[in-house]
Amino acid sequence: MQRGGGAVSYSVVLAPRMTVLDALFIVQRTIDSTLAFRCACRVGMCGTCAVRINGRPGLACRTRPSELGRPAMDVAPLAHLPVIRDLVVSMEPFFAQWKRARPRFRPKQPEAAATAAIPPDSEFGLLAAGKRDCITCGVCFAACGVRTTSGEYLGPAAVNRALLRIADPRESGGPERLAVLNEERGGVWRCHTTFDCTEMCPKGIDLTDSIARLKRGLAARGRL
Amino acid sequence: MIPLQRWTGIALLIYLLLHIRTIHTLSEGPQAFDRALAVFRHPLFKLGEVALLATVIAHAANGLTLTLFDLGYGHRARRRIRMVAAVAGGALFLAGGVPLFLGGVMGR
Amino acid sequence: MSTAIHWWLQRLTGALLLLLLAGHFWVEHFLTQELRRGELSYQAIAGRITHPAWQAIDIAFLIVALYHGLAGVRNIVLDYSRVGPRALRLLTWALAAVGAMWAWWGIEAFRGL
Repeated sequence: MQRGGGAVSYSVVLAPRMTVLDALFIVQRTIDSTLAFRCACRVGMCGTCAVRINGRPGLACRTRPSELGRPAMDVAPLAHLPVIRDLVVSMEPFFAQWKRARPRFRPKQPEAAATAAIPPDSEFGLLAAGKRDCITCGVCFAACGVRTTSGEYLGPAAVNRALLRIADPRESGGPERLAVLNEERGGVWRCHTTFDCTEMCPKGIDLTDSIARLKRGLAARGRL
Repeated sequence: MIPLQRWTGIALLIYLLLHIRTIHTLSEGPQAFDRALAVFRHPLFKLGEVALLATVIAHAANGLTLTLFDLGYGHRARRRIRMVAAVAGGALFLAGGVPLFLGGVMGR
Repeated sequence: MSTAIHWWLQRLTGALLLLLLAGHFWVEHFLTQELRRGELSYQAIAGRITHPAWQAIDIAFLIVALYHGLAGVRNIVLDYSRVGPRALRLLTWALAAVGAMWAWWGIEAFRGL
């Protein structure tokens, strides 16, 4: 495990269905109570416990050491984010980009009595079905090869959120968000289409598809 | 995959710039061109030619798959598509590289 | 939308280069026996490079390749956010200058033939 700039080894006995998060709790309770890590829901829906396991970012509560194929595993804090302590990172850079993509819904009719319904089989309903499950865990941000060199790139989650807002027929905001997405150094053009984010997203969102849709949309100025 | 495209791209650009410098000697007449070409008679340049072919094929195969994915095709089958591109690229390299090398070095 | 245009052009020139390069490799490296033997000379390729159609293809090839390569360098630099807007503008002009210079050298090679 990567702690305080160095590697520390712990030996624990795990039942087959136990998770990386279970292992962290065992270490904290039986070996070293000062071990710092974050978690909340423990069932893969809050996005708090993301760490790097054998070099790949993922949720500690959704990864089973027994399925990693070897007895030893390396747990480290998420890449591309400043470490606060042990496995705890600051999500500040992630949410700074998230805010830049204007994640809030800005309705066309703020005074409307009821929100317009989106039928699941409508164009936006079908697009959003696979893209609205983001839990802002930061796994895609840590997996992104562009973030390795660029501090300005929005990252997959923020772009995915922006696509959901832009494609929403009830949404009013547009030009400023498009301008951010179209930035030369921070926008979608930096994506190298390597699918690292898509492959590691714990919610199975095809983030690369979201980014590529925006590239084509910006390039054609047409449908997203 | 980012480093692959990056480094093969840089290598190919450097090659292109040097290549044009050699060809530019044509403007000083055929004799100057032949003098410039004399450098490349060394057998080592045959190896360079084979390496150039490999670099071009790697850059092209990777670039083609990326463009396909950027246009929205083949996202689900990406592993298979990458595999096909790698195998096709490898086959193309063998089909081109072996005769190049044999014709150049062995066939002297 | 200038960035979008470069994105399209990079893909378009990439596809074009694939065709042009395949033809170039076939004609120069496989059909030209002298080059295969490592004995290339002006005489071996004189017929082709003095032909206006071949010259046009080669010059178009050169410009497409230079654009693709130099725009690629700019893309690499853009991947590193440490480069400021002024340095980037300077780089863009420098790359354009390199492109113009090499395009001219390529064209000049054919002028006396």
